[in-house]
Order: sequence, then C-alpha cells, then structure tokens
Amino acid sequence: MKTYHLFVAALLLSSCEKELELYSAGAGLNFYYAAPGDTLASYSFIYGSPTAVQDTVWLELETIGVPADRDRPVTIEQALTGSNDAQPGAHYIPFDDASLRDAYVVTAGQTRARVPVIVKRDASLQTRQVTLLARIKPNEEFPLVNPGRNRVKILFSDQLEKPESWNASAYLFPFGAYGPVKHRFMIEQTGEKWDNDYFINVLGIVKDNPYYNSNYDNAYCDYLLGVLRRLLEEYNAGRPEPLKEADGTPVSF
Amino acid sequence: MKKILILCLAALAACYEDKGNYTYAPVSDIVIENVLPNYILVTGVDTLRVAPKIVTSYPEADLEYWWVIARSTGSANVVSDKFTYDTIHRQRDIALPIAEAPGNYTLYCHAKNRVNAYQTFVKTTLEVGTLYNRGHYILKETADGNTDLDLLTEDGLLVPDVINTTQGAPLPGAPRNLGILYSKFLVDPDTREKVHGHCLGVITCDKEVAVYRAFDMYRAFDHRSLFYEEPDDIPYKFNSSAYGCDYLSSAGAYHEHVAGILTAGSTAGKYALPKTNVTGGSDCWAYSANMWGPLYWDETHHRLVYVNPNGLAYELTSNDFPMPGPTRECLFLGAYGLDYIYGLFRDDAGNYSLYSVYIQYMRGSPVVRDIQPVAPGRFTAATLRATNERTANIIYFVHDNKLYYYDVANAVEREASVPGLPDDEVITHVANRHFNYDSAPAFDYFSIATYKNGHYKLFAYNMIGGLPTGAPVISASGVGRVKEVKYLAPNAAYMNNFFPGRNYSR
Repeated sequence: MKTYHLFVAALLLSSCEKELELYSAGAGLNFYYAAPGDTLASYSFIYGSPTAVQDTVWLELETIGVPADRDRPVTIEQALTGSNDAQPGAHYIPFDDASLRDAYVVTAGQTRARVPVIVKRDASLQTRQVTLLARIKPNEEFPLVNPGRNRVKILFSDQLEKPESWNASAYLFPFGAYGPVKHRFMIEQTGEKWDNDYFINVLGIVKDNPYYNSNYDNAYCDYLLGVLRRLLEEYNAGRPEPLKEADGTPVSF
Repeated sequence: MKKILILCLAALAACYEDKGNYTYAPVSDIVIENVLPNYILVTGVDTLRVAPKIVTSYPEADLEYWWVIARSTGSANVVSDKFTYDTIHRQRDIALPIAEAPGNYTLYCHAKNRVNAYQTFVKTTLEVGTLYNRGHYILKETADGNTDLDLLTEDGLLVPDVINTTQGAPLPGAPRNLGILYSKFLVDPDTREKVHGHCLGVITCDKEVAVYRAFDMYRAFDHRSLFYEEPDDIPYKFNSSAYGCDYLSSAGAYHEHVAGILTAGSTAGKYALPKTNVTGGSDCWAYSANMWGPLYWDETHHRLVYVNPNGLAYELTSNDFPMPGPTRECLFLGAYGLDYIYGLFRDDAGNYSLYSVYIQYMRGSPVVRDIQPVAPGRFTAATLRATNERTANIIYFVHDNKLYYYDVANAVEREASVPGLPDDEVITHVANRHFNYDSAPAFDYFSIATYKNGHYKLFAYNMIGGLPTGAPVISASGVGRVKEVKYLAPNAAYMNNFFPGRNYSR
C-alpha cells in the first residue's frame, strides 16, 4: 500500500521536476578499485629477474568531477601503519621524487590515470615483507578525496609471497594450507610461478566472491593437484625425511 | 511519511475529474483446457499440435488467441535465467513444425476477450530434442567386428548405425561398453564455451574410446583428448554415478563432478588424474544407488575396488573378504535393490561362492559378506549373467543358450521361459533395464537379445516376480550382434535419477 501511495504521489508531483544542475563541487580523486580486494596488492622480486634492482607496481586512479583541459598533477603520500613500514629511499622511490613528477598526473581530458610505485630490491626484503600504505593527498588540482577509496596497501618483499587468492575462500583452495616450502616446491617442480597472475589468469581463482572467474576449471585444478602429489611422492621417495616447512610440518597436497 | 503522502494526495485531489464509467458488466472467466503440461518433440521432424478447449460464456467471435514461446538466452546447455519472448501463432489451434534448437522452452497460450480486454493464459513446456537424444541405445558388433549403435526411439523407430551415419565409420574393435554420461562437461565446437550435455560414452575392445554429445552426435572426446594426461590403459567402463561421470580403466578410476554438483563454474570435460593410486580393473562391475559410486573387480590385484562419490577409489576388505587373502576370480558383479551388489567368485581351489556387498544408506563404506557357497553347475558355467535390480532377488543367467535364474534366497537354479523368444538364435544379452523419472516414460523391463545370421532381435518384457511375462512390450530387429542396451532420457537429472535413495535408472 505504501508503495502504491509513493507511486501515485510521484506521478502527481512529476510535473514539478526541475532541470538538474551540473556538478560544481570541485575536482577530486580516488583510487580505482575494479574489485573490493584491490585495496591490497602484493609483489615479490622472487618471480622476476634475479638481477633486477627495482620494479614497478601500478596504482589506478579515477577523478571526481568534470575532466580538465590540462594535465593535472596528483599527490600520493605514504601513510604509516606502525608495522614493517617501507622506508622511502630504501624500499621505494619516494612519491615526491623529482624523477616521478611527470608520471604523477592525470592527463588532459582524462578521468583515469595509472601511476607507478617504484619498489627497490633492498637486501632487507630477503628476510621480511614491508608494507607501503599509499594514500592520496589533496592538492590544488584535486582538493577533494573520496575517503572510502583513498588507500592502497602494497606488500612487497624479495621472498615468496602467499598469493592473495591461495585460500581466499573456504570453498576454493585446492592446494591446501599455504607454506613457503610448499610454494617453492610447486614453483621448482612445475616451472610455473604460482603467483597472483597464475592464480587469476591460468587457474581462474580470485580473491573476491564468487572466488573464480571464467578461466576456472576444477578438473584442471584437480589434475595439477594430482601431479603435485605425484611429484611430492617421488621427491620424498629418495630422501630420509619428507619435505617439511620450517616449523616441521610435512608438506602435503 | 504516510501522512505526508496522504496530505499530498488530498491537496492534489481537487485537480482530478472523475470520468469513470460505473455501468458495470459482469466479467466471465476464460478457462483454457486440453493443453498438456509437457510436450516432447523432435526438431525438424515433429509438429506441435494442440487444440485447446475454451470454457467461457463469451461468444467465440469476441475472443482472440496468441501463442508465445520463451527462449532462454543461454545456449542449449548453458543455464540462464534470462529469456526472450516471441509470439509465434495467432489462432487458437496450433500446428507448428518444430525447428527450435534442442533444449527446453516454455510456451504460453493466451486467450483474450476483445470487448472487455479480459485475458488469461496457460503455459506448457516444450522439450525439444533430436532423434538422438531420447531412446534405447543398442550397442552392437557389426558384421566386420567393429562397434556401432542403433537407436530405438520411443515411437518404435529403429535408427540403424548411428556412429557410421554420423561419423562416417563405426568405431574400430568389438564393443565393450556403452555408458550414458548425464550432464557431462565438454567444449562446444561452435561457441568454444564450456557447456554440459548428455553424452554417450563408447568403449571398444581395441581400446577405442569415444564420447558423443547425444543431441547432435558431436564426438566431443577420444582417448587422446579425454584426459589432461593420457593414460596407457585398458578402458573398461563409462558410468553416471551419484555425483558425476566415471571412467574406469586399468589406470584407475577417473571421476568428473557433473554440472551443479560440488562444482564451481564449468570445466572443459577432461579428466584429471585418478585420486588414488589404485590401478587395475576388469569388465566386472556394478552400481547400486546407495553406494553413490561404482564397485569393480581388479583382476590384476584380485581385489574389489569401490569408488566413493568424490572419486576416491579404494580396496574393500572385511572379515569375510580379507585382503590380502586367497586368490580369487570374480565371475560376475550385479546390483540388487538400492543397497546390495552380488558377486560370484571362484577361489584358487575351484570353489564358488556368492558374496554380497552391502552398504547402509549414508553410513561409511560398503561391507563384503560371504553369503553362500554355490555348487558348480549351470550358474557357475553361465555365459551371461545379470541381476534383477529392483523387484526380485534373482540373478538371470544363460547356459547352453537357455535362460535360467539363480534364486539367491533359496540357492537354487531354475529355468525361465521367455514368451516368443526364437529358440534357434543365440542369446547375446540379458538385463533388467529400468528408468524412473516424472516426465519420462517409466519402465522396468526384462531385456533380452538374440543373434542369427548377422541379424539381432531385441525384446523387452514386463515382469511378474522378476520373470518376463506376456508378449514383448518392445521388439526390434537389426543388423549386427547386441552387446548391451542403455536408455537415454534428455530430462534425466542427478537429484532425481542417480542420487542415493532413489531408483537408479539405466
């Protein structure tokens, strides 16, 4: 009945509609998340060239308000988390470094931009993972920031990282509990990277609901699981002790 | 909020001039009868003919009719909840040649009074198939020793040599097995989509393997393409079980979860590796619904292997059937009821025993029990054996080209008569075949086939007490030698036909 009243009232009052005004609250900026999980990115130098000294993680931005006819600089800053925060200069090239100035812009006429975060292969990354929490800082061109979309956390290291969708769901984690030794075994034995790209683009397992994409084929995951079991069995057969994680837990699939 | 709305309405009510017509006329109902809830039709062959009976007090001249078909926006095998609607006819009676692609459609018959605009509708389901996606498939050996299929349709039409006709040649080698693989995944050759469809899995004694999508006989897989890692194996069986499509071979038990069962997304239909290292097999196998998966004899390691619904194969052992134990040979396995499988064994001393493999519904593993010794005789020397699977505790067998049955409860052999069976022909097939589904013809037949001079005869009988009675309800004849017969129903579904606790259909 209430819906009916609303409907009738809306009909009767529809002649009162005014022309909408153009947005005029000013320009703003936020990170672009294609999926809710895009607030988090992870990177490891372990998958790249062994001689690489730095690499790039890209951040996606989108503007608020109308496009401009000029290039507009954006400002990103590091927010401290208090735990294993990345050190500017040591672990990444500071956002305000002069060499990045031209890269940190939204080009004229555009509403999207992709800006680089240059991560550096510091020796400390071989033993620990660091966190770089990137935050948009309002500036003259973009005085507004969408508070719900102004952070991206980048975890990076020079050691194996657990792929984000390894066990994103209790429903889909075909390879069992994660362990660095197990992960390295998978990489060495199969020649595949078993990183995020592999999970998403080959296995079709993603970190967000429904946790799989069109690439997912449970029979193929089952097949790989069978291959890994066989490889582990063969590996263990020639050794006095089965393959174990650092804490002594035997690796299994 | 409600008060505000009422005030708004009251304030604006003055603008409204009531021009309503209050000279009411009584409205009659329109009832559409004679439209069945379901029509099963073959595309390119059948014509949908419906003559609805209209019950109403309106004059016929005031009525208009139209028919609307609702098509899913998915392909024939891709589930979609979005539909397009087309008006396909504008008269009461419809005689529509069916040209739709195979699939299920909803058809609406609308009736409307032009004068007062009163209208109503009824809906029905159109199950559109091809000649190939419903009927009794006859696996046979051709004159030159190869494998082909004949199809006996519901209308009694025999479609001969389906493989030769659709593929250009029969499958090399004598027939070994035909399995109906319901809702098997495959890649559609036209769209390259991962889809699922009911398939026919055929195996020959020359290790030839073929999986055909039934409705268009597209050969979706051969032995090379059926696996992510092709085994060097002896293929034995294809089977639909509780959760999926099984392939049993000397390399182990391969299992694919079917669409919608414990499976996210789709698959390309290739088999992964067997989930356990249990290898070996034979042609002796059985499937009993409450076991959720098949049971088979591994003639290499002399053991019974059970495959659970998740596809894990393991050896069965019990006090009556210790492993490792005496070397045995399995002569026969066959299901009885929902819970039992009978097995006839001969030990290395030449003694015969009948075992039962029993499972309590939803309770653990099957248990093997030695139920009785069997004296050497016609049953132990039989050339063909098959259990009555539903209504009688007997095992049919053929000895010296005569049909007998072994009465399990009384441990005796008895001769069985088959009305009208030609006695100068060789019996090549006996089975109890049954199917139970809401909208498919349910049946429970004793099935028998004979062979003479390059031709077969196939008969199916109703039964009393498990024995054939009366004239055959199905009879067909063709070229070749019958190995086995399986029924394919396009509307079969796992939760109805194969789930534990239900009547397994074959």
